[in-house]
Amino acid sequence: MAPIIGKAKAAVDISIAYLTGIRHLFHRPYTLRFPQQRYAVEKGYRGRHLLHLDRCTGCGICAWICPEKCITIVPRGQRWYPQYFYGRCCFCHFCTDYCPEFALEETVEYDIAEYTRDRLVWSPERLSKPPVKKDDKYVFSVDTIGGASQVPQKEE
Amino acid sequence: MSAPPKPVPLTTVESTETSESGAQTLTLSVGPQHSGSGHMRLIVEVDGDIIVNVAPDPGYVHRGIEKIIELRNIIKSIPVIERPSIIDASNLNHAWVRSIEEIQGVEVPRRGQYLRTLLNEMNRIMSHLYWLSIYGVFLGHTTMFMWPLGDRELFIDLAEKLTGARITYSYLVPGGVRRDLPPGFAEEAVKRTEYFEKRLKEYDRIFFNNPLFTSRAKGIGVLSKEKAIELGCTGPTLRGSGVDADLRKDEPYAAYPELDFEVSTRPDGDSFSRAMVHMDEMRESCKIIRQIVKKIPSGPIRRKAPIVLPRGVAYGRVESARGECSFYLIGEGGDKPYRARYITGSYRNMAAIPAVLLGNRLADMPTAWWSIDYWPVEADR
Ligand code: SF4
Ligand code: SF4
Repeated sequence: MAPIIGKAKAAVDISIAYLTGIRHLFHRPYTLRFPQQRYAVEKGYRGRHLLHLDRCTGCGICAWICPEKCITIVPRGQRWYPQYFYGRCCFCHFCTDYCPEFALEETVEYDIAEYTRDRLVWSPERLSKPPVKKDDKYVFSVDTIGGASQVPQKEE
Repeated sequence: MSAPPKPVPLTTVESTETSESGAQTLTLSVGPQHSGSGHMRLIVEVDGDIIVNVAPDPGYVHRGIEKIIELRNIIKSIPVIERPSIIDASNLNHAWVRSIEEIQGVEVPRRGQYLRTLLNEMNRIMSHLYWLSIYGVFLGHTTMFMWPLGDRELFIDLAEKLTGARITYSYLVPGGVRRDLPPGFAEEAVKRTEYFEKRLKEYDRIFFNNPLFTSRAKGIGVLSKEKAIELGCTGPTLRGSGVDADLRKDEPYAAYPELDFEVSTRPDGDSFSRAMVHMDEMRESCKIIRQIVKKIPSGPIRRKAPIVLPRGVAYGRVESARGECSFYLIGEGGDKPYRARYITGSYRNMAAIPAVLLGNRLADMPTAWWSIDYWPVEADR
C-alpha cells in the first residue's frame, strides 16, 4: 500500500509545484530594460560625487582616506582641487564622510560608464556640475505586489 | 579519506588507473571554470559512477587580503574585507570592527548595535537567497534560479535605503555605523518581510516539497553529527547535522541578546537538512528584522573612535551567513595592524567537502556539494 500512497503524494506535490509556477506567469517581472527604464534611486544613494568648488580648500584628506587611491589633487590657478579616476572608485564614499569642509556630496547618478578610459577621469570642473536631470517617464521601484512597479509621475 | 589522488593536468578527463584491488578508476577534474564547482577545482576519482576519492583544489581566487590589510589603515581596509563575500558583506565587516573595538576599548551605542544587527540579518537573507538560486540552477530548476534572485531585490533595495549602496555597504565602522534609519524605513521593512514570508511558502511548494528535489536530496551527502564536529564545520552545515551551535546565541553580540529568535537545527545531516536550515534561518531573520524596527532605541549611532590601533591583541568573531567569521588582530600602536588573521565560514567548511561526497554517485555531486554553501572566494580570501 505504502508505495501507492507515496506515488499519489508525489503526483499531488508535483501538480502543486506546477500550479504555483503557472500562477506567476501573470506577475510583473523585476527585470527592466535598462537605458529606457530605470529603477528609482533616492537621495542618499552613493552614486558619483558632486564637488563644491567654493568650499574645497584642497587639503587632500579625501585623497588620503581613499582606499583605492583614485583621487589626485590637481592645481587650478592659485587653488588645488581633487580629480577622480572612476575606473578605480568603489563608491565607498569615505572621501565624502571625511571631508572637513563638506565640499563633497553623494549624487543619485550611477550610470557613468564610458567608452574610453580617459573619459573616466573626472576633472574638478566636471565633478562640480550637478547631475543632469534624466527623463523620468519610465522610473520603477521595487514593489511587494510582485515585481517592479512604475513610480507615478509628479504633476509639475 | 584515503591518500589524495595524484595531481592531474588541467584537462577534463584524465588517466584511467587500476587500483590494487583490480578495479579501474577514472580521475575527473571538475572546474575550475565554474562548471558547477564555483571558482575552484574538485579532483574526483570515480569507480563506475561512485565517487571513491575527492580532493578539493582551492586557491584560484586568492587575493592575499591578509597582507593587504597589513599595509592599509583600519578604515581603508573595510572595503577590502567585504570583497571575499560581497553577498554577505556586512557580516564580514562586523567581525573586523568587533576586533578593532576590542583593542581600542570603544563601546558602541545601543542604537548603533541595533542598526548593525539589522543590516547583518538582511545580509543573511540575501546571502541565503543567492545560495538558493545557485542550488536551483545546479539541480536544473530554472524557476528556483529566477525567483530568489528576484526576491533578493526586495532586500537589496531596503539596504540601499539604509546605507546608500546596494551590495558593498562599508556601513559598519569602528565606534558605530555611518548612517541613521531613513524616514519610512520601518513600515517598508515590515511590508517586505511579510511579503517575503509568503514567498517562502511558495518556495516550499515549488521546490522544497517537490519530489523532483526531495528525491535527489534526502539521504544524499550525509554528514553525521560526530563527523561534523570532528571536521570543525560551522554555520548551516553544522546545524544541518543536528548540532545546536550559533554564535548569536552562544556568545551574544550586538543587539542579539535582546532579540527573540530560534536557532534552527535538523538532525539528519543530509543535503535536505542543510537546505532546510537555510530556509528556517531566512524565516527567523524576517522575524528579527521586524523586532528590530519595532524596538530600536533612540540615541546616538556612533561614538568617536580613533583611527589608530593601540598595542594589543584581539579576537573578534561573528556568525556570518556561512558560519563563524573571525579576525585575530595584533595592533602595535600605528594606524595599521601588525597582523590580521582572517578566517571565514567557507574556509572551515572546506573539510566537509570530501566527507559529503565520498560514496555518492557522480550525478548526486551538485546536490551534496552545493548544500554545504561553500563560497570559494570567501575561502580563498
Ligand atoms: S574635497 Fe574636501 S577633503 Fe578633498 S581636498 Fe577639498 S576640502 Fe579637502
Ligand atoms: S568613494 Fe571611496 S573609492 Fe571612490 S573616491 Fe571616494 S574614497 Fe575613493
